Amino acid sequence: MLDDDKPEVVVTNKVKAESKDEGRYLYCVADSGDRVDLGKIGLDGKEVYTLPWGDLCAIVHNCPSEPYKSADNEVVKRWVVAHEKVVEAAWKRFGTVLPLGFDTIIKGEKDKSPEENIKNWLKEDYANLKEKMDKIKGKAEYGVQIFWDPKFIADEIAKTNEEIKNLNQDIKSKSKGMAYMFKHKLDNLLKKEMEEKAGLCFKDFYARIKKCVDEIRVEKTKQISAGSIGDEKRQMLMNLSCLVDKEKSKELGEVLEKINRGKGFFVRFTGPWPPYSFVAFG
Amino acid sequence: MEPVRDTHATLVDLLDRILDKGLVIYADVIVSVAGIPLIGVNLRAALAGMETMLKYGVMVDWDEKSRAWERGHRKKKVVPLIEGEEIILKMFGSYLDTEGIYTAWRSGQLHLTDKRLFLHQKDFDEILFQTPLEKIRGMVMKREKHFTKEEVDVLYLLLQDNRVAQLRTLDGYRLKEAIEETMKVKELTLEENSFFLELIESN
Repeated sequence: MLDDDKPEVVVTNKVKAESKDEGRYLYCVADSGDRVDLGKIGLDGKEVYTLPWGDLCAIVHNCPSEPYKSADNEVVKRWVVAHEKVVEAAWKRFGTVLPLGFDTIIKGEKDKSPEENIKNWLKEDYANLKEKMDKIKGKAEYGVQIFWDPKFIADEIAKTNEEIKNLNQDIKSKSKGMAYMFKHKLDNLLKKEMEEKAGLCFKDFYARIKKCVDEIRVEKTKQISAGSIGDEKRQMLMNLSCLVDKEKSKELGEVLEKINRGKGFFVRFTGPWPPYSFVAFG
Repeated sequence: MEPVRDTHATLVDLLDRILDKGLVIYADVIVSVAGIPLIGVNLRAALAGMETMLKYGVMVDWDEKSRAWERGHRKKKVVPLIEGEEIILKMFGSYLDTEGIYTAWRSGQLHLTDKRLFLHQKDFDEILFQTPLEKIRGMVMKREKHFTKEEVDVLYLLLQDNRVAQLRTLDGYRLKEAIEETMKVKELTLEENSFFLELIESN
């Protein structure tokens, strides 16, 4: 009874027809106004090219306006590596890039092509994009992860801390039950000392690293091992992303070398990465 | 020390960056699935199976929330207030965080507003703790020995979900009074909860 003067519309087919190549997969924004082809270097060998507006351009490939997804981890890994390779190719060629995360796709609308939408975005967000470009110009991102061997550090603390030394001494003369109580007390004390030491190390390393980088982001620490370094258990103390002037990465390397030489400490130093961690927000 | 960037050994580092980071576009022309913008979340969705995530409602309201978050983060280091919210009291304070790898006191600016109590860490623009005033059921102040061997006043809050939060400030009594007064104005009352008192006393 309602709306019976309006014809029924079946939308399924229309949506399907529209989605073919009606999107643009975005890799990064570069500081160049040139329209160039970068070749078939995209996800699944897609043709990658630039879409300029003013003195900026978006690096894209044509795709349906639906996300890339796959249940196959190998496929996904291949995509991620391809994404990175394109960003790096653009980085090398144009000098400064603002990288985007995986699977950012701009779609077209009824009256606007995806190209127009991208150009509109570059236009409207121009000041913000330029400001970000200025901040990262001539700089690269480096990953710094510092680990320690908790067993080694605990032994060190036990050797030097008077209170712990005394407790250890006391335990020897106690009955089994009392020794257990003392052991518990000892463990708690040690844990507290470890936490305190972790805090001090963090502050010390942070200050030393801060001196030779432009900006630091403190990332969440992870409970994974530092990779293929044998069986020792390593605990991540700090996980940093550092924005560094390309000329100054050597200095950072030297500081990290010193930290890495400290007994019981290990440093993982990765990069240079496109500055993913320094373009996200204001 | 030379940095490494071998794609094999550093794939995790690459994933971290490409998944969670990169430039964020705030526009309506981003492709999305069921209202979820495909920034960062997508690869994880590919790995976890998008259907599963949607089925369990993990990402309900994701779109508006993530956009609001992004909008909020564009403003630099401004205390994140809700519209129309008024600050009543501001003081340095810390909160006992029991969720991380270490149980630790985390410090920031404690704000009491006419709507809520929250602890904001300026440098990382992070809310370390917050609760709407309506959700505070009980408050107890207790003098405790801190590990630095000083005596400090710890304010225990009993929250609606039975969570107990511990806050420390230089002037805990002023904070407690201000919370009580604000709650009175809002006609909110604290419960008489002897169990909570006992619990704190015996702690």
